[in-house]
Amino acid sequence: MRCPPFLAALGALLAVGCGGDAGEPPPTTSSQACSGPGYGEENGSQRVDVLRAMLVDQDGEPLADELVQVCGLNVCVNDMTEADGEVVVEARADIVLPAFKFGEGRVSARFAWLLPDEREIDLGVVPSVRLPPLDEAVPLTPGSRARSGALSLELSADATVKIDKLTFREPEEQGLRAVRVPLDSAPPVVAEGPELEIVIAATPVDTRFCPPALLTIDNELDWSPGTDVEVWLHGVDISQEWAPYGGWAKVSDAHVSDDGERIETTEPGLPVLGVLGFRRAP
Amino acid sequence: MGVPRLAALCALASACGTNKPELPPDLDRPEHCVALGYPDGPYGTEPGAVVRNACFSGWRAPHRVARTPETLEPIALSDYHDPEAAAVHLLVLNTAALWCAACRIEHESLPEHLEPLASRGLVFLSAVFQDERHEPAEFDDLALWVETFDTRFPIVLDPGYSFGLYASAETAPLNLVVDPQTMTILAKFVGDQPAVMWPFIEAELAKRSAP
Repeated sequence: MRCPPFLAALGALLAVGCGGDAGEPPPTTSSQACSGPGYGEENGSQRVDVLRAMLVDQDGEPLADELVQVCGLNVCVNDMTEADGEVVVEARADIVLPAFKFGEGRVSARFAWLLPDEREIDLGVVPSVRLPPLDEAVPLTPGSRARSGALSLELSADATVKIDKLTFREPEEQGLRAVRVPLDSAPPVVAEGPELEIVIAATPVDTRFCPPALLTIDNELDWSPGTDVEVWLHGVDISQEWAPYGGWAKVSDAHVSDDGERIETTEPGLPVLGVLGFRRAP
Repeated sequence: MGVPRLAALCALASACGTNKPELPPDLDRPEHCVALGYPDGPYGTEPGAVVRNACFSGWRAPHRVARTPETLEPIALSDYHDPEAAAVHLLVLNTAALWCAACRIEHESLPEHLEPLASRGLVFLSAVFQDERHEPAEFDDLALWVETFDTRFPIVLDPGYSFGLYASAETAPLNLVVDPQTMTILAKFVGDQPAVMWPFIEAELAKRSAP
């Protein structure tokens, strides 16, 4: 059963089965392109007492003073990393679909890594992804193109850009910043995804585009012109509108341009910003 | 002195309502505010118990005022104590925090629930208690929340998390459904539970409007 996003969110929160299978998106028409299909499904709770982790960036450097959370659909327990990147979260709660949520999308990218059903969890060193500095942020303005790193977004003149201003409060935080995620040192949640070949972390996380944005990335892997590509989104939002929480869902089709220079979305385009995965269509 | 703290002291100085008790200077915790006629304790935190009075600063109708620190008003739970059920038939006390995704989901859907129920005597009061990094909420946080959700019901700052008596911050949102005649807690919903809470509220309102 497919649900409107709001009902999907309720379903998720109330553990009511309501949504598509995780990772297998229902077909989207252009009229539906501004609201996600919803991925809520029934989940039981599990006990999480203590979680330990050490957060580092893609160069192995500690990520200090980062907000991390043991966060599920019903409970969210927070802590901050120490100077050496270490954190111990004393959750001691029964949590529905608990994930280790790290990165706010300010300093580092936001991920949600679903936790094993264990009361005490030691994740060891958790690689994350440091984002470009704020002074490299590019405004997201309707009717213009914004480029950061290998990723660019083209917004139609009538586009609505809905930024999470409760999280990204300063103007510079509301600009586009994107960075390639090295697969050999990516967070485990990337490897657990759908065999992605390119991953790019972009922020401000959860920015919504309506109509969806034309997304373009450099064809760094030299895929052949015309190659069909899938664009996937990592789900960090408990409303699970566009992707299952802690998982991945395909959000758009794309292809390699005729000149082989770029990979660009076709239909429906990019509806929401976050950690994006790309793979050649099977 | 920050604006929120100043506003809180102003709220205390104005005695949280129409009465003006002399408060000891060290009573700066909101739950210590006093209102004549408010139900006596023993107070409690679970259904069947009387909710303790608490005083805040906020806006009764945030969409009708310029949202500046100067327009913050003292608002107390006792303001909604209605022994005759003349105006308030049911009171819902709600918590919200900027970091709380479930709170955001809840507040996005509130208008569709509240608009048809306001005329039936439902008063919904929300308290914003923490910012996006789990720090105590300040004036800017309250203003941003109101702007984001176009809040049109009473909303207050609760930087000391007075409602922590009833549920831990991690389980936000909290919703206490309260009988305004006795200020007794009728139900307590921890976490966003719309499919359970709104039918309960509808049923309570129906009971209260029955001849």
